[in-house]
Amino acid sequence: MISVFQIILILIAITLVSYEVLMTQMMVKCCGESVLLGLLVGLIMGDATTGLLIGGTMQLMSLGLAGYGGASVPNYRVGTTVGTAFAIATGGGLEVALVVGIPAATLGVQLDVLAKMLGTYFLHLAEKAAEKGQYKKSYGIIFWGNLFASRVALTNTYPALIFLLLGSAFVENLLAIIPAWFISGLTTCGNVLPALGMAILLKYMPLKGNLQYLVLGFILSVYFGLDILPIAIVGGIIAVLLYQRLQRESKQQVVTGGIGDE
Amino acid sequence: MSNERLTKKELWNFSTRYALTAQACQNYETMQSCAVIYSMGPYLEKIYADDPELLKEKFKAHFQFFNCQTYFGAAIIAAALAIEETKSSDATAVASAIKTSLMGPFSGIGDALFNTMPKVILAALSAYAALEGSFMTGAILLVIFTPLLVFLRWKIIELGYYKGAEIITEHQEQLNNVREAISVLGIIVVGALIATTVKVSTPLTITAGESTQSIQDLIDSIFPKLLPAVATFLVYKGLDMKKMNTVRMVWVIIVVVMTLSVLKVIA
Repeated sequence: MISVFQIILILIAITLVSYEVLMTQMMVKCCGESVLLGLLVGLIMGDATTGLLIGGTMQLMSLGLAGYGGASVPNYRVGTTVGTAFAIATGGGLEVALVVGIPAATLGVQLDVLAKMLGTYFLHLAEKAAEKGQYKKSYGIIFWGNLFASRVALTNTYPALIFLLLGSAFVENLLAIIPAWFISGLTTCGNVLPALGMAILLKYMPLKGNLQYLVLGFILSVYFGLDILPIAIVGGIIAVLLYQRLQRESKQQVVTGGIGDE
Repeated sequence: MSNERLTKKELWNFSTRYALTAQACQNYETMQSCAVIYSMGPYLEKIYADDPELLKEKFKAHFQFFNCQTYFGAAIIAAALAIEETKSSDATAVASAIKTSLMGPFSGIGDALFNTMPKVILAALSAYAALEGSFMTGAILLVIFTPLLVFLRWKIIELGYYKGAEIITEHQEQLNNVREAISVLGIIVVGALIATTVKVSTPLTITAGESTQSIQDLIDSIFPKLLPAVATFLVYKGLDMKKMNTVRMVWVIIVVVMTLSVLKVIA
């Protein structure tokens, strides 16, 4: 069972984390939003280890899924939150978290589109207030509208609340109906989904002419068995060398460009 | 030049107001313009306190479309505010031109430096520790990198405000080099992450007479992690298909993987 008190604490946790991820953007990204949420919800539900396991799994599934230029992507914050809560409440562990969490995360996209449509409404309210010279009111509309009726609340707090109110009894009934092949299939999905995040990242990176670096990372992991941290350090050293070379080249270009102008 | 420059404390308040509402009421019409108004509004009120009608026009102008990575966005708006402070007759025209011309290039640089890299490398490190049941790595990363991000963001905003847009533009070449170098770091890490985070194997076997050979063992002996590499490549190519987007791709993956898993081709 999830008590009312626990639901309130969970809602505060997801709201704060989402606010940080969407607005201030300086803290949560350093330790992973799903990891932090898994830990917080785990602590609230009384099982931090399970929370971390689910948070870590969801983090790896969503690695690289970022809404560049304001695009909408699946919301793994909601997935982690309700997944962790029900996994601990029902004692079902990671499988329950995936069965509840993945669909919940995917729903987040439609809600994000809706929230951005609603954002237009608050934009016009704030604009009207400013036209009348009521600037304080305009700031108020932006701040409070954002807090209660924008992407933070609409795509995170409210969906989490609805799922939590549906309750663990509902989730247990659901799990009783779902056949075993479906659950094991979903677990495999959870293992394959990180490929999407990686593919999207590669779309946003200058892969052209840099394919050898992708192979290098892959080889260092597969054949040398290195962890991510040492590989990141090797990558960092190569990046510094490359930066120094690029800087030298830019300076030379400036010099030759100057002579050409004369 | 008027003498109504912001004090350090006021600039810090501006930066806080921007951080608090960076993507407030984000919408398809003007994206992040609410953050622009919320952060620079009080200072516009101060600069143009003597001319209420002009002030209204300033607000109207700055409610227009703005969309940028949020650290550089704050710096560009700080530069725009510095231009408004000159009270020159074409201040708003110049400020708007700076906003629209800089937001594109600096979104690219900012996303690479402050979004993609931390979200991939730091989150992956934290996630692997979390799978082992520890938040220690995450906590250490938080303690090291959050002050660093706060510091860098503040420096960029200061640069934008005190040195104006020219200095940001002058440094663009250098920033582009930083971005290119750091992208290489990113690509190396992604190569490693494909091998470690994507998990696909096959339970298929070949039976020849008496002996049964597991195909996965065969793959492992020649090219370990071949299947994760193939899966990532297929998704990468799949994203190029017409009408494909991230969400549709999630569903495609779920349906395909479910089917293959039920048929016991992959596990």
